[in-house]
Amino acid sequence: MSERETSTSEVDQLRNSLREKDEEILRLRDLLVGKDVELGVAKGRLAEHEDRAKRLANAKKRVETKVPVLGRLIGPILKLLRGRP
Amino acid sequence: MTPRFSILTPIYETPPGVLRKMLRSVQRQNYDDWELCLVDDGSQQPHVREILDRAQALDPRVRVQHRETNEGIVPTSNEALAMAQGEFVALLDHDDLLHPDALAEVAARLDTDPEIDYVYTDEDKVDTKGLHSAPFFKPDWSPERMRTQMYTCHFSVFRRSLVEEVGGFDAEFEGSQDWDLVLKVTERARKVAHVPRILYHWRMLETSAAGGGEAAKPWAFEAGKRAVQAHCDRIGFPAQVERDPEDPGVLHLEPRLQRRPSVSIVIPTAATVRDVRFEPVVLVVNCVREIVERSSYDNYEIVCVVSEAVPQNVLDELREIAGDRLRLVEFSGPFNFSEKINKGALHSEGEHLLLLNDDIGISTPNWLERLVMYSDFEGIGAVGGRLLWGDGRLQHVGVGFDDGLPGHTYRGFRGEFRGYANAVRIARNTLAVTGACLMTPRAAFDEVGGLTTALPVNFNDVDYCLKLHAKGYRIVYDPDLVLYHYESSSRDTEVREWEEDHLIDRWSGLANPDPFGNPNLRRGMPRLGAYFSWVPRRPPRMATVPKAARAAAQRIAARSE
Repeated sequence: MSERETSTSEVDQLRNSLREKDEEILRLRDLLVGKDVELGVAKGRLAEHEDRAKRLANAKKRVETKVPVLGRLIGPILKLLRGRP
Repeated sequence: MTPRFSILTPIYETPPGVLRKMLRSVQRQNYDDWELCLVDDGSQQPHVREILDRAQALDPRVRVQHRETNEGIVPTSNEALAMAQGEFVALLDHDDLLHPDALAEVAARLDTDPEIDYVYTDEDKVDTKGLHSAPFFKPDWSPERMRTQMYTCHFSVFRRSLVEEVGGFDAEFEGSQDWDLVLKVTERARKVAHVPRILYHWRMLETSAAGGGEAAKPWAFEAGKRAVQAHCDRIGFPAQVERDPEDPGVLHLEPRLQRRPSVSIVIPTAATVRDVRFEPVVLVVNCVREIVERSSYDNYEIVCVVSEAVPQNVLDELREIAGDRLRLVEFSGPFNFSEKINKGALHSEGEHLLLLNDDIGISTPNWLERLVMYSDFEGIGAVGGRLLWGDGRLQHVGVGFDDGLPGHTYRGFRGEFRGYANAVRIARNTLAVTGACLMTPRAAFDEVGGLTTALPVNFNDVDYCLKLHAKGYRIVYDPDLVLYHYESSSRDTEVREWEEDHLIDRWSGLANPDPFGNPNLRRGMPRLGAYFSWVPRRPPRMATVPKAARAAAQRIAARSE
């Protein structure tokens, strides 16, 4: 009888622990989903910046192709500007 | 054809410098056959009368009327309309500027087709120092866009007889009387044309909508909403118009269906297992469960086109979830998305077909109502929505074409990204929407022969939409239909060269250039050089204007005799 009582309480304990773990998993998954969305925002911003950078690079290439002298001047001017404090 | 243009300009307390510049911008036109109908709405400042009367004395094409009392823009505009004698009327605000080529370009466009009743052009803004900014590069005529954004705005030129037929400017919509007029005119117009060039410069003053936004004219935006609602009621479009909480210039349409036609949701599936929100699920089971549990629409069936490899327990689970709504159609043979959809359509009965990927998640309860609102409306061939990846980034907001090839505009951008000129947040016509979620009337589907089996993997949806477009149907992107697309964002669909060649061979005549893009836009954003596209390409003919004006006036007088 006492053995059976012991085993019943162990099962209950195990069940409780399992339930708690399940809840913890759900909580962590929700957290993960939230973080994934935050990461999504950052990735989205990155995509927007990359798109802009690509456009600027294309424009630079076009200027260099059409007006080679200007293209040759842009580099040193940019370097000069970058060198400023 | 060299039509005469009557430019209608209501005047009220316009600053002298601004008024003179407006007059000069008309007199510098590279096109002579115009008249400027100016009505002063009871301005108290003496310079207004002085400048207007002087302009009239110097140029017979400038005609002026003065009102003793201020009655508002609508009666004043109507008085200017009554003065008009030209075949076409053009709207110009008292503080704005016309590009020297404005009338010449519009006349050239009108010359291409005698059935054009309304023409609009691109525009930008100009500040008090004369600096240009915010160029607005517009698509060709997009009726769905017009219901959520007054995008044609300036420079608008209407056939005068049609403006008179619709009763001119309506005082009920004061502040948005131009939006109302465009809607009324285009309801009856035979053809609408667009000149993709900046030919109008909208002055940014604190007192104008261009500079002050809603704070400057709060009533105007409310009037815009009412004008669109009245338009929807007139044409029987089943929607209630709502304002955007963030942008006063954007409207949203909420479905108010008069009838609830049957819909067949066709889902091709191989019962793929993938992580959805960090939990492995059978995609089709997840999709069907969300449809059944979250949809507020009731008149639908689900047709799952299943591959041979789909295990029995998945089929049992689908039956348990969807019950009588479910129809299972077996498919064997190598993968061919088009064949699967065509087979599913054959085994379905709905008035409308919804092509749906099994990796779609539902987040808008009235998603089917939204789709039906468009799909059930005359002239619309296909409708799709805004698809987001699981992390909230944009996956699909309509398909745009660059150099004849389709692409997902703003793909991978933030979910909150509004797009160029609010393109993500407004309903728009596009050349195509993704087949991941596409509703189409069955009649249209049958008319064009369904999806082409020559394109088994990529571009079959695009090809289908282009077939519809070629038949005169409109394709719609609905921004308020938001769904999740659990495809892998890191996986780029492999497009083969022959698929691109096939599409270009078949459709480059229609899709290059994209009529819903603009020559100054690339991938939905302005090209860098586009910011200078307003710069006049020919020197204005200042010195010759008075002489030309006299000659034109003599010609007009001779013609009227």
